[in-house]
Amino acid sequence: MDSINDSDTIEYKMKKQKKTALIVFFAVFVCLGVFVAVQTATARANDKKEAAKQSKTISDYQKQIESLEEDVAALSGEISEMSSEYDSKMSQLAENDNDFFRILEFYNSSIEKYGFYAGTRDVTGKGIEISIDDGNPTSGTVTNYLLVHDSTLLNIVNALRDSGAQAISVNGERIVSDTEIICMGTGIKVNDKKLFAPFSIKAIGNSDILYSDFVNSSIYKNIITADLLVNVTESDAVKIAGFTGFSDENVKYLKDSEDVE
Amino acid sequence: MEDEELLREKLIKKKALKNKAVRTIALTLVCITLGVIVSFEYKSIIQQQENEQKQVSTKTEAQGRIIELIAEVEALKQSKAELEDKLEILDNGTNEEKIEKLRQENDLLKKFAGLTEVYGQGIVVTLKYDDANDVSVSLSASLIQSLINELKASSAQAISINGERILSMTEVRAVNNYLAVNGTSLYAPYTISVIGSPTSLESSLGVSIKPKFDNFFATYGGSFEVKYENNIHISAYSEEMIENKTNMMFDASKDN
Repeated sequence: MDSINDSDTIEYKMKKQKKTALIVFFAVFVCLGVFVAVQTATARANDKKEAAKQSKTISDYQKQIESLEEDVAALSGEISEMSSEYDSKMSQLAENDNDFFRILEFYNSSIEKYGFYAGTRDVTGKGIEISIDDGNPTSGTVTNYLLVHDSTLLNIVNALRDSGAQAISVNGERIVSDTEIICMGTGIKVNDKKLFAPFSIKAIGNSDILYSDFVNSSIYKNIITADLLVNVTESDAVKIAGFTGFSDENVKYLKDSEDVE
Repeated sequence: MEDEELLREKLIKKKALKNKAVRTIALTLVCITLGVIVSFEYKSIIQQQENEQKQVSTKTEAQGRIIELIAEVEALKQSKAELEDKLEILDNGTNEEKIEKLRQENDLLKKFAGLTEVYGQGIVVTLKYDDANDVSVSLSASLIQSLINELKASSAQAISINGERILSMTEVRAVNNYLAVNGTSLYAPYTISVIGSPTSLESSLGVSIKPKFDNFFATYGGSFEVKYENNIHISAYSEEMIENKTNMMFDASKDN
């Protein structure tokens, strides 16, 4: 009787175990099901959201690019019309009033020359292009350490001057005699314009010297240590735009002779 | 009886074994499913990341193109304005007035390039060293560079160091115990003449630069002095010399 009782309890225990196992499995599968469902749902939602966001910004960019290309085409058209008008007037003048025509030609070429020296004209030549951007924050927060500072840009420009650069621009802003490179809130002020990373610095000069001096400079080492994103390329055809903001304001404190008081 | 009991026990054991096997198989299945799901999830996450990277790169390309185009538009607008000016001069006024306008523009650009001697109000900064050696001069070079930058950010329109005009591409580099400026060796003490609005020039130095120089001279010995002046004279950079500073580039509007 005892043994029967024993086997009964064993059977009972087994049944209980089986039940527990079933419950555990059931729970595990429910959890799994919920997990998979939630994952898929969020993944889909994310995909949709991301896709919407990305395609929106990309199409925005596309629109902006198209409208800018239209501007370029329109301006180029106007310019070619105006310059043919100018040319025909000048050739008329050359026939009718040659002395005056020659004086005009003299001043025009002199203005071009001094504009070239002062940095108000577009120039081309061999040189290098440096692109530099804030580092990728690994901790998830942007630290000062990973940002391109005004001092970073100033040091780069000074290093390029040391290597004999003949023209330099930062994000298209030409470095002229009174150009400042100074921190302004979240951006960097150059020629009174607020610029943001990524920065593209172009320099014309002896491209081999510019390149090798720069990649061996202490500022380049500091950039690498600070984990900023930097890329330097040598080029046979660097084009640097002229300073666009020139007016008599730029020389208003400069007098031709001593004040007589 | 005993046989029956044994048989029953065997049966129970067998059942237990079977149960165990079923459990193991079920567990294995669950694990495999889990593994497959996890790997799928992982794969899709990686794919998502790749997609994001792709989109970021197309975005960067688009941004780059926009920056280029904005610069192009800016340049074209300038060419247009120049042409408008040229046409305006051709169309209006007497010949004398036309020439006068061109002469003025010519002189302004020449002045901006640093090729005329200039006078005006401003400040004179003097750096005196107790001992101008390799260390003190090389350390002060970067301070002088920041000083020049601060002055330009304020209202400086002409700057010279010991008479050497600071142009757009002028370097200030320490070589042993002197500074190379426009390729010329300049020895201490340094006199930096600046033409601009005197009040804004001086206040711009007070904030960040003066304390740096004061610290520097507290360690290395010397002084940093700033003086207002009404008639500062800054001499011109020579036109012959500037040719050497521009001989590796070409005017983009001329076909070279």
